[in-house]
Amino acid sequence: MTEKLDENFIKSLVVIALGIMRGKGDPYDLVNGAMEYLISNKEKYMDHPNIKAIAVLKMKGLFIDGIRKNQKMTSMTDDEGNDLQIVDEKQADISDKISLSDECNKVLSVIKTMGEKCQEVLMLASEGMSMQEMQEVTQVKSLGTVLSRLSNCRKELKGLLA
Amino acid sequence: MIDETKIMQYADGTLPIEEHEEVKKAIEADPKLKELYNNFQETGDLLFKLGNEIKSKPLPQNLQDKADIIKTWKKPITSEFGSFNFFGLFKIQYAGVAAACCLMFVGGMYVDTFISGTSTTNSNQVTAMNQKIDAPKDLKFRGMPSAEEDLSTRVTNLYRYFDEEQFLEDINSKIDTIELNDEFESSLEDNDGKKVKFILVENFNANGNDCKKVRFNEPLKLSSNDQGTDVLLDICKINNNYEISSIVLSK
Repeated sequence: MTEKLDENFIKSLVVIALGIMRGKGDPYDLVNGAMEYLISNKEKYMDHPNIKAIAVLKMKGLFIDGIRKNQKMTSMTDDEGNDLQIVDEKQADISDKISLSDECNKVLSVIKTMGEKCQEVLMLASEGMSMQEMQEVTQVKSLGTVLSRLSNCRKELKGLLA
Repeated sequence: MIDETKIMQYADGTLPIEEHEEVKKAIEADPKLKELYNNFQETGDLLFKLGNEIKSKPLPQNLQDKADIIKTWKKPITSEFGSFNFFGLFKIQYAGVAAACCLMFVGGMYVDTFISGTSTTNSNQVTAMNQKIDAPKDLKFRGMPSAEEDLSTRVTNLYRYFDEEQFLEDINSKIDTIELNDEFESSLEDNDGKKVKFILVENFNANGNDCKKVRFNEPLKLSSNDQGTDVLLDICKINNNYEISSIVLSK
């Protein structure tokens, strides 16, 4: 895939960053970090066939770095994928500064209460990624796993919204 | 037993066409699957709206500055096309795209590069278009890199070629006189200059408004590898004028 590199590319990353940050932290900071990385490595990435995947993986790396350095983020997972809660409840939910309609606010709020994997995959779907792209950025081995994860998370979302 | 993921893909319009019939029959035969299908449609719609709404927000200045930097990495596609008339076929309505996206219920979209009618047996018009344009094989289109592109991009791409304003202006005066299953045309033309025809498939009422389902009279070739996409428009009469309330694209 060759992305059109413009504001919309960065806005797509903001959507995805919301899923990575899990409501605790500024998604714009994460996007900014990934963009700085891409710009400083222009020669390496400007012709990359899937630069969005590079940016998303960089954001995930930055998120994990943030946890390790500051422990300001919500949680991380152990080797088996279980949540390790290291929540700093005092930290403001900076993503709230993105003003949304009531309907979208409700959906985003519910997504933030869901597990890490669901948050990630639902925001990737919200951004409009195809299953193949989701597989690439989530680094899940099987496309079927991505499909079933998204299916289960959407069922859970529907249940929580009801 | 149908895999739930297939129901999801069917609801999203991403299920391979050869599996449609099986899944469709299963949904029709099982109320639980029908409910699941409806739920997937609903969550798909919500996620689509959420993504678009977030993307409609302006970027902070520091990110806008970076957008200005990366814009220079690739040439704008319009200059790459030069005299190619892709973008002159229909009026581009960027300003209307965001608002339109919010109104749309999209069952699944496969929009890529161009709009052109296609027969079920071959794709003569595509062939003709390729001859006319003589585009290089590795030509890249702005925001339309593959059939797997994101949904919002697909919607945007559709609107590059579908002039909603012109369409409504054309049909507003005559749609009430058209009988069910009648074929009619607007001033829209495909890439070969052929008038695009529509069929009135249903009259219905939504929220007290008179509405109609209008289908393109043949599957559209919306991308280089599109096998044919059915496009269905819901138009509803609001303040004495019909407006598009949803667009459903399905394979």
